[in-house]
Amino acid sequence: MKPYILRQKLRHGILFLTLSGITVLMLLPFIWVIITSLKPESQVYVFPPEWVPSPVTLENYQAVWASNMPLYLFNSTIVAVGSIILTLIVSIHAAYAVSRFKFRGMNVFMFLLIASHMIPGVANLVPTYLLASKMNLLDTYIVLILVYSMWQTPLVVWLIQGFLQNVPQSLDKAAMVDGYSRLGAMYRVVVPLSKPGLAAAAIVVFVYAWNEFVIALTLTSSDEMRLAQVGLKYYISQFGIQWGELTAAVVLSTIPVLLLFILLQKWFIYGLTSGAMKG
Amino acid sequence: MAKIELQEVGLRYENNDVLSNFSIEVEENEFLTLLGPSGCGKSTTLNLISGLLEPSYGEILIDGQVVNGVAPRHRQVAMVFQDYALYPHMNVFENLSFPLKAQKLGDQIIRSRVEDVCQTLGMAELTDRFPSDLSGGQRQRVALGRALVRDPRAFLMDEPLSNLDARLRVAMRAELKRLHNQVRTTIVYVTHDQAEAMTLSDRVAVLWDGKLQQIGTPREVYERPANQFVAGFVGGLGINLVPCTVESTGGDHFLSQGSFRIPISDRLAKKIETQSGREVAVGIRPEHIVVVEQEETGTQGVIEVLEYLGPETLVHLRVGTVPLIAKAPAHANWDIDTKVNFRIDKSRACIFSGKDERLIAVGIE
Amino acid sequence: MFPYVLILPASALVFAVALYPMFYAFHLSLHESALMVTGEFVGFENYWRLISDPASWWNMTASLIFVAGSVFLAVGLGLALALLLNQRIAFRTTFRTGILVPWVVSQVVAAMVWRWLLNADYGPVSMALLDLGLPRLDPLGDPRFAMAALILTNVWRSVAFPMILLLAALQGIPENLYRAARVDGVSWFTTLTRVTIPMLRPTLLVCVIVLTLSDFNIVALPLVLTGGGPLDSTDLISLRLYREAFTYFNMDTASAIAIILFFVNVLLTFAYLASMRGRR
Repeated sequence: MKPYILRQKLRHGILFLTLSGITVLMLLPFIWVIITSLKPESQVYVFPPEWVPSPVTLENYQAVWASNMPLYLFNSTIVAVGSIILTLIVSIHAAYAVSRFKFRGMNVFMFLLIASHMIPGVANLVPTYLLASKMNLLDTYIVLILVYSMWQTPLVVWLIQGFLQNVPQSLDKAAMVDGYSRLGAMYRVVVPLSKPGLAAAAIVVFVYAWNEFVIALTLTSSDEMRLAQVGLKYYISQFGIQWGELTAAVVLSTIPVLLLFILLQKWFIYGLTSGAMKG
Repeated sequence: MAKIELQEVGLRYENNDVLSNFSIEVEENEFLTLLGPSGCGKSTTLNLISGLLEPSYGEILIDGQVVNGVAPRHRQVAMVFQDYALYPHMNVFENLSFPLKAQKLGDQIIRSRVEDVCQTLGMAELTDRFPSDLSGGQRQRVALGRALVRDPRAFLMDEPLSNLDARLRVAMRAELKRLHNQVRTTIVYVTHDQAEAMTLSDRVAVLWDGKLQQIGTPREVYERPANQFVAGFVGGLGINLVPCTVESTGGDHFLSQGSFRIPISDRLAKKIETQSGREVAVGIRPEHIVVVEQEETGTQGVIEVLEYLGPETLVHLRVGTVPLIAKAPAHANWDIDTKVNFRIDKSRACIFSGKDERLIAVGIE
Repeated sequence: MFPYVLILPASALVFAVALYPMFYAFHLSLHESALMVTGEFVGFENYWRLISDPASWWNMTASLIFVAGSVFLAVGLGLALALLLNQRIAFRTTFRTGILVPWVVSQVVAAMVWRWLLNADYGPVSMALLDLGLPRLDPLGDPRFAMAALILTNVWRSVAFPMILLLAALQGIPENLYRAARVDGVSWFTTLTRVTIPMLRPTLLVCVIVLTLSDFNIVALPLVLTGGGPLDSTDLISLRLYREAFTYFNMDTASAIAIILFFVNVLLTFAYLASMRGRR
């Protein structure tokens, strides 16, 4: 073998090993959690820890399934889907206006969006809590959906707007000459064509709503309204932590986002980075 | 089929006059072309007719009815766009039926009308394809079909051929002409390509800088350009414009610039003087200059550059300080820097005012 | 008229749920209030109390340490990972997917996972330290190490963000620049420092600012991982805000902190916008 080919092979080998190592390291904490979740109670608390559960048991998952966790997951789903719907409806129209019209006050509107993005989530939490309590909205799906949608709207408007820029305006015009109103043209032609952008936006909103914790913690109080992330927190009590069940709950509550991520990685990355890149 | 009128129409946008005081009448079944460079307001005019834009002032009439403020969808005009504007998420059939669905027609009627149009345009086998699977020429056909299927009052076409490659463009040009003869309908056609305008139109309206420069048959526009801009824009090779001064020695008058001298009659000299003073520009098309190597008649010039184009050769001459381009047969084979004699077809030369570039006279006598 | 109708819902939402509450917070911060009752106007007293309280200075310092450590490590490691992943290598997408996973999970989950991983009694890290002959260590229970553990967890969670942005930026660098550098005989290290990094500068800046903003306002991760302890060693300003509001129900103090945080965010965002403008 010629030396330069050898050198190249060596380089590739080292690179491959490095990346494999890093990937395993990044996943290791999670792998450890999955392993623990499959262990029987007696095996969870041993030292040195075992990397292979024996016997493999689903008793932790059964326990979680019997608890209120399924309800929390259901609540999270409702709130996430509600947020997606509200955010998309509100954002599509705003994005269409921004991408198709030049109107007085457009810059003010865009500034408003950016300004709202400047507001730190925690900082907004205190007044939001007080206002929600005054309006008797605490502990409802609606308040969570409203707050989540608001936080995602600026980003999603931006994202969809970028997508609409790539839909030629001649298509709207053609539809209007072909006998449709502006809104008709928008719904029949522009919206179907920006499906990928809407999908990316939906994923962004879903992941945000699914993973959000602090807002859900403060704006809900009853067990019936609890979201999955908050539910996880309640596994930590003053009596200690049931690690076996907790790890199973962690795995269960992470599966939806993880599945979505693996299936729709391209749109996922697009959605979550486009806001930052276009600034 | 409809008659379209624009009366003193103008559009101001952010303090710019995109179009000003534009009046035009498109006769029933006429093929009228709006010709001009990009940004001259020709597409704007089309959008004003279709209702996609509203004029700042002036009235637009279709069939004698004022349509200002009427939404595009109620104007019953069809439009063909430069990028075809085919709906990418619909197949050909759906694209063609889209305007019919807007009219809430029954499925049976829609199907038969779409099929008719596909027959006319020879694309019956394409109905299931999506725009992304079509060639440029096929897309063009679908775009035309979508306009045809509606039976509109007029067709508005915005540079429909400019995205095609050169050969296809010529073929589609002929097809458009055939189509117009066949369906006999009012067409307002926008292009920046003077060859398209000349070959297709009943009349050509030349626009520049938001203003109508001239309107007339292709022949009128070519032979009697209203001003220097029209002269330069129409005719494939442009026009040689030679700034000249009227000189009078004794009883003789000349148009001259340095050693470039053309004698003119008393009458013409007077006409120039009353309209423009002494300064004029003489416009001579390259095809009206004949290089005559052998004879000793005519004016003498030096050959600077030869451009062999295939069907013909362009000869860049210099007469004193005046550069001239002449069209010569393809087989012309002179050497650079040699002196040749040439003759100008004076009857077709144009004289433009030095003041406002308007046409004063055609033909030097 | 039409565009205004289109933007109305979005404007209303943003106004009602973001801007109006912020005005309300400012109003609250100027009053003495407990729980649900807004008391009398006290001017800037709530702010003065905060400024004269050494604990709040520690909260700010802790936040600065946390933000600086997290951002520096996340961007640095993100750049390294991006450079590695920008090579032609088998299973590149698999590696990328794997490295991206921590970014997708919630802060609560990240905190839980690391709590268990770093568990002094039953965790593998503890065992690994013992195997290396080091003393058993409880990073989350030891004030000397808790901040480091918090930063480590946060970097694990957020490193994929700069990585993915930088990877995209790297792929946007014209290949011809590298060809030119190679033809000119420039070493890979010089190419990195003189070609690649300058080309990445705008993206690096974006990463720094976005991460700074999000790290500065972080609550869920520290709340679940350390709860601010032990001995306040990880008591970030954002955590203090949360605690003042929802543990002690000092809405006035909490609002004052909120307003301060808001202005820090505004400053950071303007830096961000200025840097973006410089880019164009």
